[in-house]
Amino acid sequence: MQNPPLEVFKDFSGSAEDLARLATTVCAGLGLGAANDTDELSARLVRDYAQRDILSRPERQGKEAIYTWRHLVELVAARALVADGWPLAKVTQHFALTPLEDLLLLVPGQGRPNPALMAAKRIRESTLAGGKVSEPVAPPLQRLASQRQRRADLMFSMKQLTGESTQPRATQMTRIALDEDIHLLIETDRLRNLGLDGADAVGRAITASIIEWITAKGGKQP
Amino acid sequence: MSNTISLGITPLRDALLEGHNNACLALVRVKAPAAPALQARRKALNLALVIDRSGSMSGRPLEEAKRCVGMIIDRLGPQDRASVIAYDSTVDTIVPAQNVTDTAVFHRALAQVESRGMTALFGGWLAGAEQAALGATDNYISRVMLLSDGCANEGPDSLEDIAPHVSTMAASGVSTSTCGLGNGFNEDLMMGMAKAGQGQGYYGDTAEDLLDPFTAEFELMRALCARKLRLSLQTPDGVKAKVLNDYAQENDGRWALPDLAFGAEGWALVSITVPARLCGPGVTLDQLLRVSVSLDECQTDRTLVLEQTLSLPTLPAGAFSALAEDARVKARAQELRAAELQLEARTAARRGRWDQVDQILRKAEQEAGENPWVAEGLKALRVHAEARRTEEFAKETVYKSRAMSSRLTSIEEVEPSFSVKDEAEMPSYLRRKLEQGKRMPPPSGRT
Repeated sequence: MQNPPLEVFKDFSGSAEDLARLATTVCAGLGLGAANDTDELSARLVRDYAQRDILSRPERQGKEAIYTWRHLVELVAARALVADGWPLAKVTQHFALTPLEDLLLLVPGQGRPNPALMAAKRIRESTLAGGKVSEPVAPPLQRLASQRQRRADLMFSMKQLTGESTQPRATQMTRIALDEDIHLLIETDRLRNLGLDGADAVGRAITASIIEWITAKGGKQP
Repeated sequence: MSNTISLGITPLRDALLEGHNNACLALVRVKAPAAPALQARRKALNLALVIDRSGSMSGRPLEEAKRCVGMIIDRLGPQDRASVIAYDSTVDTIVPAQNVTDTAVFHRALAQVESRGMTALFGGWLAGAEQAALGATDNYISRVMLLSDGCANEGPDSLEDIAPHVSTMAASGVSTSTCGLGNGFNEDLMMGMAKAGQGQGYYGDTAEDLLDPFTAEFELMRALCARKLRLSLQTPDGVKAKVLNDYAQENDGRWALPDLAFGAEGWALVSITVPARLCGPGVTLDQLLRVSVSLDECQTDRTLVLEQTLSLPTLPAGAFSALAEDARVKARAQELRAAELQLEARTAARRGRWDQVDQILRKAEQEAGENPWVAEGLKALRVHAEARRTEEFAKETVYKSRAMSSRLTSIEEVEPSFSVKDEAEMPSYLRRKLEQGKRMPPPSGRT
């Protein structure tokens, strides 16, 4: 079995500088972003992401914030989304409702952690806490799960549209009128190469985005 | 001979009694091919071998346990994965999960294991589950094999607390088999874990009896043909059907049958009740029972769904009573009844009511009829009862009862014949033992 690359750093614990350094190496290995641009992935950026709640709150040892493997996953996943063209505000929204194991899926080359490993982890955590093991999807969590699913769909569709490219986005757009009051703006180059699967992905991305918008506004659940 | 898995239904009698309420029996058999296709690759194993090294294992038991684990390691190949965990009050992963490319690594670690401390059984199992989980992909059959000679006395210790975890891991792809040793272990906990873990439950009466269970477990996993067998029954309106075996029924109503090995049959005895109003003269009840079994083939990773139906005509009393009963169905019914009575006897023995035990055993002997395996097995059980050996009696009844209600049968098995000599020639996981905790004599020609 191949262990996912990020699993190697499971015992990581360090300062913002340590995290930035490690994430730079990891991102370079994954072909994410400008790995040598230390200004781009710096301790300052780590703190900025923590401020924006993209990274979970780090533990404190005296005055120093201590970051762990969880923060590494969050940081690398965030960089992957930013590389895909996602705005940071959107990334924050996604991360607020996405469990760590699903964030791992956003990192290129990371397979879904095997269910047995996740189950064993839940058992270990619950027995250490002296409690019962929670089911992976307990009824009260179903609503949250469906939101997660929508986000995963959105992510999937977005990935299909944008690929893994870190190139700047094209600015030439084509407008398609779907109805009198519904218009679709799409990059002209992307539209040319879209294909039938791509068109299908566009449709799903639109649906997911609208549901996302309605949900965020507290509107009627689909 | 067929090289595919097949499904069959055999009724006890080939008809229903006209004009009466009918309660009939039907045997559902899921039959594996005798051997895998030549080009098929066997599935690799991913095992976590968990040894109790508490103080009570001191001496021969621990040495024998280490020998059994070493035997399994030696029979694995580089495509297989294994880990070894030793536990007492503390749990040590003495060999982390890895491909078995260098057996010396395992033997060196085993040689260092010494007895001490208490029995953190759950902690040992969980460490094993974690190690097996690391390799739990579709490419492997993943299993924890847990050995203990005592009662859990560190950490979670009740079946109620432990079984849900074991069940969760099984549902996630890591099954659990257990092996008790001697007469100090908690048979309810160990058998309960094996059931919840969708694995096998074994025990060895003495250290010398330990190799049999380990061999059976290893050979069974090596020979697995299909997993995740789920049985569902459908009947017309007014007809009811239920499985009589001690199989777990899932939330969706399907019964979980044991994993299937080459050369073996999985089976379920189904009780069908048909009201008199449906059993008019000259009627044939089409699709009286529709059986569906879904399973995952180990060699191909395909999911198969097998379906079969049973239709029976009605006959007047004279013609009906002239019908012969199917010997195989009758034998399985006797086994299930004996299993049920043995558990009753065990409850009485635990209460010290040996008079009741004697009565129940007599009843079981009468009902065993001409089923030689059941009858001979009861004789062996009576020895414990007459000596009033509670622990030995309790353990043997639990494991014998389980074997009678959920064993894989050989596709060659002919009802109702039985001989120890013939059984010894069978693959270890198909043998009908007279005493579950005792090793069988080696097959003729072997020592």
